[in-house]
Amino acid sequence: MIKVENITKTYGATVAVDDVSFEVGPGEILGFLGPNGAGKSTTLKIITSYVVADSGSVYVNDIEALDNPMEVRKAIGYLPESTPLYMDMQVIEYLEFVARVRQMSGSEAKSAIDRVVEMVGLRRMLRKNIGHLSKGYKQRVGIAQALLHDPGILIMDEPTSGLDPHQIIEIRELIRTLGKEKMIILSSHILQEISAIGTRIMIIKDGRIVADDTPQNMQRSLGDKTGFRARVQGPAEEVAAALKGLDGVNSVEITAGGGADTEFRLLTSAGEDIGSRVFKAVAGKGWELSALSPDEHSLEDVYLELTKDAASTGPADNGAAAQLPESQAGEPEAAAVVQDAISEESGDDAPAQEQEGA
Amino acid sequence: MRNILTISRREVAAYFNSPIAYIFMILFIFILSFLFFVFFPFFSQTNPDLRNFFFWFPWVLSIFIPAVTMRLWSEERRSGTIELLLTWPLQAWEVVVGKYLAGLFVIAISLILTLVVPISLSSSVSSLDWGVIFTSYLGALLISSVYIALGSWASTLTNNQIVSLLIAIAFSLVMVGIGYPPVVKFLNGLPGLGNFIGWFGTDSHFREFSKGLINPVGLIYGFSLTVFFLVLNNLFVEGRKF
Repeated sequence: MIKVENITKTYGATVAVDDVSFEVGPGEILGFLGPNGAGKSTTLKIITSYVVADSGSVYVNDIEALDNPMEVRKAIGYLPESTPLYMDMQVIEYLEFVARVRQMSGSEAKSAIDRVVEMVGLRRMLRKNIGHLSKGYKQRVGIAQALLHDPGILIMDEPTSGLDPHQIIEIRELIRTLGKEKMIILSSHILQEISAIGTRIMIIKDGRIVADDTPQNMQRSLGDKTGFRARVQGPAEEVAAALKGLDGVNSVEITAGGGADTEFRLLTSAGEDIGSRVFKAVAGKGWELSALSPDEHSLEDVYLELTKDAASTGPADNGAAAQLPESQAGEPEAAAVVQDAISEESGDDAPAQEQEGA
Repeated sequence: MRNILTISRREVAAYFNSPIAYIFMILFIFILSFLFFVFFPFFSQTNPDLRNFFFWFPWVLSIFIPAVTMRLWSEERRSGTIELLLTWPLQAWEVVVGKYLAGLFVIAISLILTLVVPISLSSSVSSLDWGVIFTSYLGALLISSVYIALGSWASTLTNNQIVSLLIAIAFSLVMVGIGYPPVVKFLNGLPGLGNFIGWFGTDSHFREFSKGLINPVGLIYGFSLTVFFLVLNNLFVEGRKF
């Protein structure tokens, strides 16, 4: 259990973390979301006692972190941003070193290493130099390091950044499995990342928490912004009119196509599941419904809405970097920033399988 | 203690996993031998002894040791591993001392390897005084300890190894320079000042040892300056948190 109370941290004139408080309990996977430079990493560094806050306190399992940093460090497994490792060591040497740092005896170390190597799938890589491993394997070594002492709390800063789509899925699966028995805080600037794994999303902007809820609630709070995407073969105008007439549908817009094959975006009231109504309406008229899916990008709308200022100050100021298709970007400015952010990172961390609005 | 040794072991392994340690040792022996045999030809002396061999130690060490210590903290900062190092359940001072000991180990091995010079001469030169050789090496180890602690502190200042190297060399040269007799004499223009400042230099203390004396003041000097720089090192590491 982690309790963060009113922590503030400034670097010169920049306020990195501004009076942030929150609690994380057992069984939670807290996704820390925000544009680059919003204060995510600094907050994590404060919890792990790498950085000392100017004011405020952190309690880990009811232990004050500043009073007793050693106890706190023992309770936490930490994977810092960009996975720093000793590149000159072999995987096995590194894990043995970490085991000694974690005060394990020889036999404890052996079984702990065995356990984590199995868990993260490093068996074949043990004798390889870390510097020669692929990025995905390096990430696994970093996670193995964090898990070695079987901590109750796992803190990961951008754990899938820079991985390819396969590796991203593997790491996410791993985190989800770990989340069954551990409390996890992970950060990301990618929305899909967080909504795919997190049981709770916390959005931070300019060092302040601007939203804190479950992914479902956050979507619900959008009110009429939740929606569906439907692809219908039929006369566009008539279909639109028919859909608009349905119970629970607030508005209909044509997003692609037109003519006989058109994609519609339906905005509905919160929590309304209108799938079957749409199907019946379309089928009743003799048109064909070729696709119908919940419009998950609506969560991105919340994110963009909440972090709008940061996004519109331009790329130089660490603009928002939600990976969203162009059609979704409400404002051209935000879209430009997003494009920049994506190209800066050479698209590495864009999870391809989720790029297109599901 | 266990934590200190854990860190030292890793650091020593890092030196020997890469070519650094080997290149260092070869160059170190080569330069000292060159200065001794070629630059100030040993065999042309009328009364051959090793004084000219040891004469260069404070200077050569002041330039070579920063090459060993430059990576100690700079590399951790550059690669970001410092963030793990300082969030593992280790005290910062344990890491500081562990790294210092690793540096001391590499230098001690290098110094032992230079014994090849006196040993190779022992068959042809009968007048070698092994007592003096022993105290000279003790003195060399002592001033090395100061340079290592200084170099380790200097490498906390930057994430660039080259910058850290240059800072450490600059400081180390000052440490030799202020104890160098001509400098002391010059500073004594202000009465007593030269002797006072000179005391902090490595050169004067080393010269005592190379005369065959084990001067307790020299031991205290080496120990206290080492501790001073290690404390400074620790302060700079801890200070990064704020």
